[in-house]
Amino acid sequence: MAAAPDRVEAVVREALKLAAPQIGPVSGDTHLASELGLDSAQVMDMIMEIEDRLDISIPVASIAEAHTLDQLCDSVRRVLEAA
Amino acid sequence: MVLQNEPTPTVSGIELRRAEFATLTDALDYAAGGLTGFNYYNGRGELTTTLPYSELREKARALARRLQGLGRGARVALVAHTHPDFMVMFYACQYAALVPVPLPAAIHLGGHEAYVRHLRHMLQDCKAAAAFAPSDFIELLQEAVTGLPMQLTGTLEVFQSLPDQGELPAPPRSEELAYLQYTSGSTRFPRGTMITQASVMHNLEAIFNHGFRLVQEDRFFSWLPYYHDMGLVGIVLGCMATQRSCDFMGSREFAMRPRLWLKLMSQNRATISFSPPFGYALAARRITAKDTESLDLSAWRVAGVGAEMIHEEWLEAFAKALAPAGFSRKAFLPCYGMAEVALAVSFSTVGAGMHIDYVDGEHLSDTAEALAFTDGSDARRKGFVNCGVPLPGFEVEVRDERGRVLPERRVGRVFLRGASVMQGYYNSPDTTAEVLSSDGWLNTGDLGYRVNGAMYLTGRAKDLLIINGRNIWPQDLENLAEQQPEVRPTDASAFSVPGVDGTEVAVLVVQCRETEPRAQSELADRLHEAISAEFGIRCLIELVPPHTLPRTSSGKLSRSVTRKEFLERHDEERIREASHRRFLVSDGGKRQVAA
Repeated sequence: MAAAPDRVEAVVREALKLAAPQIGPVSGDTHLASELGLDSAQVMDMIMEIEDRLDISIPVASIAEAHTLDQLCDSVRRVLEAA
Repeated sequence: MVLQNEPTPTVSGIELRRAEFATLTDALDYAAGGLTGFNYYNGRGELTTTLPYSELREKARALARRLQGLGRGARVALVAHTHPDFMVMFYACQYAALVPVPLPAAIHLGGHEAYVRHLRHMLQDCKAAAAFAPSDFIELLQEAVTGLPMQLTGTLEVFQSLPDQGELPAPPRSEELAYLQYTSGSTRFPRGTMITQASVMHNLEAIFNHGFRLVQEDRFFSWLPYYHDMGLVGIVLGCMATQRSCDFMGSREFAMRPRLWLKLMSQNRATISFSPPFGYALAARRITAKDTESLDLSAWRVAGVGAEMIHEEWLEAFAKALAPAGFSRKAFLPCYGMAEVALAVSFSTVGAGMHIDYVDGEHLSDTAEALAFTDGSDARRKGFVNCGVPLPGFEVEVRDERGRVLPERRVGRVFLRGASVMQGYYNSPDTTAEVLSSDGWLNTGDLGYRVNGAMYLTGRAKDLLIINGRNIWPQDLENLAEQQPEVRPTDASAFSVPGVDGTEVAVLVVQCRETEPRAQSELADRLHEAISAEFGIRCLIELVPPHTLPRTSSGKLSRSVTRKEFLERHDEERIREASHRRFLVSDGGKRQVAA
């Protein structure tokens, strides 16, 4: 299955907002852990929301490269393409 | 792939033997005669693989014939992802008389480099001859072994394509190592506990006969990682050695979907499951009244609690939320243990729930005596959980700082001796000598007291931080700070302070010459990034001017004094507030400069 790239970003942003409601504006190069201060529980919540919304399963190693929002979106796109 | 068929049954069809075997291979030879085994569920709650012990034994023995070329006693590193291939590799090592070394399989957001470095440290420390990972992790493992003298690195298929040597070697002897476990120890200086076949079998036999005696109707459920003692020894080895079926879901899937734990337990009528306290708290937070309507947890008779300090309120919240589903708070079974004794030291009483000893908190901090609390203001009252009397075969002593044995209700360091104590840390005679005396006494590094023989743990003598059940060494956090260009060696000190609802909050105090807010902010960002990639935790960072950190007379940094001064600088409310911010800046005195 394929999703338009902007759909992935919209989903990731929604998931992030749900997992960490207190955060302010986020740009593509915002570092998720250092700048937003997400802890591992919030990261898990966010990944779960993304999985549920896109109906995919994100392998554990695929988030290892993702520091920023843009990079996370790229990882999700790669999972979608492989699905 | 989703299976249409059923998980392995609860009743094995053979007589229940409670880990009364000389070695793990003897145990699997016996279990293979029954119908029980391991079952794997995915994040949607679908059964993906069943692995009956009969099939596990067959596959393990077939693979063992191909592994012997590595040489008896050689270490084989196994990335311990919750996956059936890990089981086949682990038990093949047993039949081939090799020493399996489970390695962590947890990666944090942006944590690629940190994870690879961590793996590499452990591979080097144990001098692994070969390394395995399931396909999800194989690229990371390949990167970690680059340049190391490995005979083979690969997935299960790669190991299965080694030439068949025809016969199995002589089975492992009870004095040979059963595995190495890297539960304790820092990421830079890992410590692999050496556990023999005799030690682990001794501990398992004591657990399932005396800790909680198993019956034919028992069925396990587990999401515990295979690289922790509770998950590896208690479940991967324990269920097999008692011929119990166990249903697995991955730890990461649990962290995302804790309700699935309860749904699958209800569905398969599981009777036993263990978790650190944070697991119960996580599930309690997610559960809704609607969820409980469709759950039946009345079969759950042992809800084990271990691995970190036990918070009564967390367990209460869980029991309250799940009472409508038939969960009984009497199922809670607090226990105490560590990888250095294979797994368990003591269990409280099965079916009795959690018991708290209330003591006079002020008297305790003044005199280290845990006097029973009778009356007075509630602020003075402090509660500790009864972790039960030690299993048969353990000698326990509570000692003061000068090594004198203390009487009951006196808080001191907990020392243990017995047949399941480790041989030492692999390849580390010095660190072994620090904790294990020549006459066999293990210094646990835990503080506690005893009443009528039962164990009560009050804290830690070592500086270890435990965040969400995970051990984090302060040296590792300090080292991350010292790697930053503007931070010099011995410019950082890490410890934990109490957070909201009994959690622990990691704190890193860093001496910093930068006074520009922008430069300070950049440093804090880099620190958060590094800590998050390595440990997946949020850490409270405080920047202080040079010469703020207190030193001992010998010039060493004192974490306990740094912690005390930090708590004097910031009151509780401020710490709570600050955990939402990126960092604090203070002048090292009591006055706040900025946040």
